[in-house]
Amino acid sequence: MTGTQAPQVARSPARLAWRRLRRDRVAVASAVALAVIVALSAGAPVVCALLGIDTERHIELLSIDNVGFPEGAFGGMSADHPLGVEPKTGRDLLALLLYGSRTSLLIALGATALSVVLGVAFGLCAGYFRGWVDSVLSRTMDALLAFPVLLFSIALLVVLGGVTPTGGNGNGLRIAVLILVIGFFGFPYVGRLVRGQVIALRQREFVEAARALGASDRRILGTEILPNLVSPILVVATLTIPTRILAEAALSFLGVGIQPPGTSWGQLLGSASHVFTVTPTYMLFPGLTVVVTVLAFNLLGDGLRDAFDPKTN
Amino acid sequence: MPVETTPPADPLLSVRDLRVQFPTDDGLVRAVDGLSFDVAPGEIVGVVGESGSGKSVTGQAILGLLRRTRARVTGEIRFDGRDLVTAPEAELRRLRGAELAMVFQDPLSALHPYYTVGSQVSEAYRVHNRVSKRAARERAVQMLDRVGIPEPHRRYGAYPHEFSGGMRQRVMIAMALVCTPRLLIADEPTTALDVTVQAQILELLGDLRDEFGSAVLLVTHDLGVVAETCDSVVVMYAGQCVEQAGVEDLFARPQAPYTWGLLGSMPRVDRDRRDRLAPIGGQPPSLLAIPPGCAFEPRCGYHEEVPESRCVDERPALVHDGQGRAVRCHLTAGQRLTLRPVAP
Amino acid sequence: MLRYLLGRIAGALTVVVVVSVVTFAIFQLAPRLTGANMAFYYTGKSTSEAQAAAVAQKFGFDKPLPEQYWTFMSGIVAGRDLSDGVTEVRCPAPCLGYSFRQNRPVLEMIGEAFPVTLGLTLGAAVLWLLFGVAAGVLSAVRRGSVFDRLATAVALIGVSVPEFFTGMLLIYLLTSGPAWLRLYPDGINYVPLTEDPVGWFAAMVPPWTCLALLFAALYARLTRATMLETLSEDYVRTAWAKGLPPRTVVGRHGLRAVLPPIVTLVGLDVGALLGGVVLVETLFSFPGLGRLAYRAITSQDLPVIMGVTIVGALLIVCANLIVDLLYGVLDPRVRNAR
Ligand SMILES: Nc1ncnc2c1ncn2[C@@H]1O[C@H](COP(=O)(O)OP(=O)(O)OP(=O)(O)O)[C@@H](O)[C@H]1O
Ligand code: SF4
Ligand SMILES: [Mg+2]
Repeated sequence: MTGTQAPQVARSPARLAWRRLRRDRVAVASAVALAVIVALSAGAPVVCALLGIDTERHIELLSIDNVGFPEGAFGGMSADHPLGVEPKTGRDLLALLLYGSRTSLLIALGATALSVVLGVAFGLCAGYFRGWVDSVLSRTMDALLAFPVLLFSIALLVVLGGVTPTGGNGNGLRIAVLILVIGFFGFPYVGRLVRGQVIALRQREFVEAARALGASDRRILGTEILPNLVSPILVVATLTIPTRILAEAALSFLGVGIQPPGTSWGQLLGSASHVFTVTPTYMLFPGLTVVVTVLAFNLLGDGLRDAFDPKTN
Repeated sequence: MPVETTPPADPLLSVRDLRVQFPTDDGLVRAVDGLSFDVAPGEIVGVVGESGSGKSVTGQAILGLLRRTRARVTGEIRFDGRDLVTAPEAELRRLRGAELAMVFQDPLSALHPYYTVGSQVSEAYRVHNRVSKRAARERAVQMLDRVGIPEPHRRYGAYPHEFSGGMRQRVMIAMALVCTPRLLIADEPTTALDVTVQAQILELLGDLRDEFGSAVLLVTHDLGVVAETCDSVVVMYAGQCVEQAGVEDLFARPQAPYTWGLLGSMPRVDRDRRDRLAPIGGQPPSLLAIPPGCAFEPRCGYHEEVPESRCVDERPALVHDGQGRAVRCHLTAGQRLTLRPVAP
Repeated sequence: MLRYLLGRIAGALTVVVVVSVVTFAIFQLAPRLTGANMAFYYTGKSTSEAQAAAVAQKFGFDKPLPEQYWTFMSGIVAGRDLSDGVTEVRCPAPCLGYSFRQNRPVLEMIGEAFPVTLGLTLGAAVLWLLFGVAAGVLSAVRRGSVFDRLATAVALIGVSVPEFFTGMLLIYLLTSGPAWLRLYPDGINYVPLTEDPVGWFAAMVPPWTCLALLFAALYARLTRATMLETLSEDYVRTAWAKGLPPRTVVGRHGLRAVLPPIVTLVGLDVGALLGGVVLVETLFSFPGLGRLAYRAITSQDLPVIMGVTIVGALLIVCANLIVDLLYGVLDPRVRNAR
């Protein structure tokens, strides 16, 4: 209960949050790191060209005595192949990692977008209309949270795998399917949060006032409630991205997501899972990339939350 | 209960130049800013003042409850000769609950939602008394009965949410009094209650004082409550004491312009008793930037009576008259007599 | 209380039914969409035309879907006679289906795998609750201390490391790493508890660690935040005001209030835990439900998939039910309200 009236210049909450965020060194560092990661993966072809690496097979780099494992120490690290090469194929690991980041981030961002859109829609309706609408929507979300999600995702992907061509580099459809499946199962978390926020907002004076003035539901939702949800949605979206990254990684790790020769973080880790006792570096680099990216998103999300809502700490 | 050996003139509690400051993002909040007042043994002292004047913070400072917060507490709080500000935590812990007890402002949030009221009361007893669980339970039931909770044996096992506001407040009081403390700080014990319950609770406090000889620091917004219940009054403004006086004196001969304002806004018998104080014009100063002179100056209608704009530049001292009265104002004694508005 | 209980049980059963319908639908509808042969899913790769027709007839793939669903569900109660066109089998009473690939009733396979998963999850849960909650409480109490900062950092990293990556690191270090860490030179192999309790425990430690790490970090964060919030509650101030020692204030008044949200979170996490189990069992090659499901899915052994998914949902729902009841016990307001 801080009832002090500070001599406050009218500053908008967004600007205040932005100021707080800029002072938060951890959040800034995470944002910078993420910017670098995103830039590197978006520009993977260019980066690879600049570094003189590609995703072609280099069988000559593999040892014949050692059944297809890279020659040389540390997974075949060399000046030409800074992170070594992939066992069995001899493809450059750094190049694979860069292209894989592209896929993983694309899926994570796409899935998050889907989760957020669905979650906001469900949460808004449930929280605003209450009554039976709320009952139905909330129960649906609760039931989804109680689903064995990973099993379902695997099953869906296997079944839909029959439709999607897996040969060649035909991972395009698979990416779309992954976005759908991962995004769908992520939405109840967002929905619950949005619902809670909407219920709180509904009681507030400006919403009551708008209703008293006879504004339509649609108008109240669009102009009074949604704008006030921007910051919590931004925070929850940022914190949803890492969970979707991990979901994609898990599915591809199990071999039902992205398939070689296509590549993603999870796919690399999955391939590594058969050989990591021999070439630990092949598992280490993709793993660390996942950890760093997920960590950065988590830190940024925490920073955003603190910036918007400085009480919680 | 040890027999009271100190002469009654010696205060049980003596607060001198108490300051409580909260460092916040916006700056230093001076919630209590040089507060001084006394409480004699067995005395009921009312603490009045507008919202945010630092009443609750003062109560918490006395119990040392601000030690685990970021608050900075300085000055002197002498309780029975010991300085509580500098006392080691172990000593304070012995005093808390046993000799110093507090009834908090909001009884619902101040009671643990997951424990029965009975266990919360008996726990308070067991901390300071080496007794069996059964003995503590009996004591708690007895206390619940004493504060007027019907069927205390049965209600012992009920949870706070199963009680009405008034009953919760009684539980809080039972909990605070279970070790017969020498000083009870009651933070707005009646604010949320309706008039009849309010009267019952206040009567209860009076009775308990008579029964256990406890002194009471009664924090309230309501001057009517003060008039009915208290022996003397501390008037607080922006974390300072602007006036302390016996209750008749204060109502008959208020000395500080702020008190005049308070009394002027006091609800009258012919009006609804529950009318809150009609606010004095203007707002209390921001606790981030209390004026260097008299804190009340921006709202005071009498500052022009004081020469050389001293009200703006110089903080008035709290002047004691030696007979238990103290006033913080630059006006001379003569001026206060002539300028005071006719009895409200 | 009774109504609360009945309501919860009804809700739980609904979820199981919904899960079974959805699973059924996925595997009945999707192969049709893709034009795959249903009989193939039920029997195996070497299905001849005649077999396929027999299976289709026996399973009634030509019948309307609701009827098929009903046949499946009633099989759980009554048992079924099944055939892949060559062999006839009787699948006795609680019939979750029969795997013609493995030539075994699904329930039997599940019964065999269940203890592995149970040991894995319970052990991991004990570990993560113990460490997570303890670390969170200590962090909150010593807020800003070196321990708090360290624990917060570790927890942050912990929630960012996928369990299968932790698993691979662990396996690598423990089986092929530096000599002093090579505690499992022969690999980490599951041993049934009944055969060799010590061996069982030794084999369980790495996967426990790997599952628990992620959740412990999550719970440490939650506990810390909730504890901090709780410690600033009025009723904790009241506890201080009684003159209680810090041990009691934190350990009784604080911790008591932190329990309900933790219990709620456990309920929410059972689903995620099952996912973790699939990953960890697959990685460690432990013959539990997770690996059973994974293998069945990748080999498209439909009856097993159906069975495991339904059992999985049942487990999640039961865990949630227990959590709900526990919540009712923990929060007197809920207990009385419903
Ligand atoms: N933890 C804190 N941090 C910052 N400021 C605080 C804190 N606690 C209290 N304050 C400030 O101290 C001032 C005094 O608060 P206090 O609760 O003592 O007022 P009060 O006189 O009891 O008011 P009320 O009649 O509304 O209860 C308020 O302005 C409040 O905002
Ligand atoms: S000191 Fe001056 S401003 Fe303050 S109350 Fe007295 S007259 Fe008013
Ligand atoms: Mg107060």
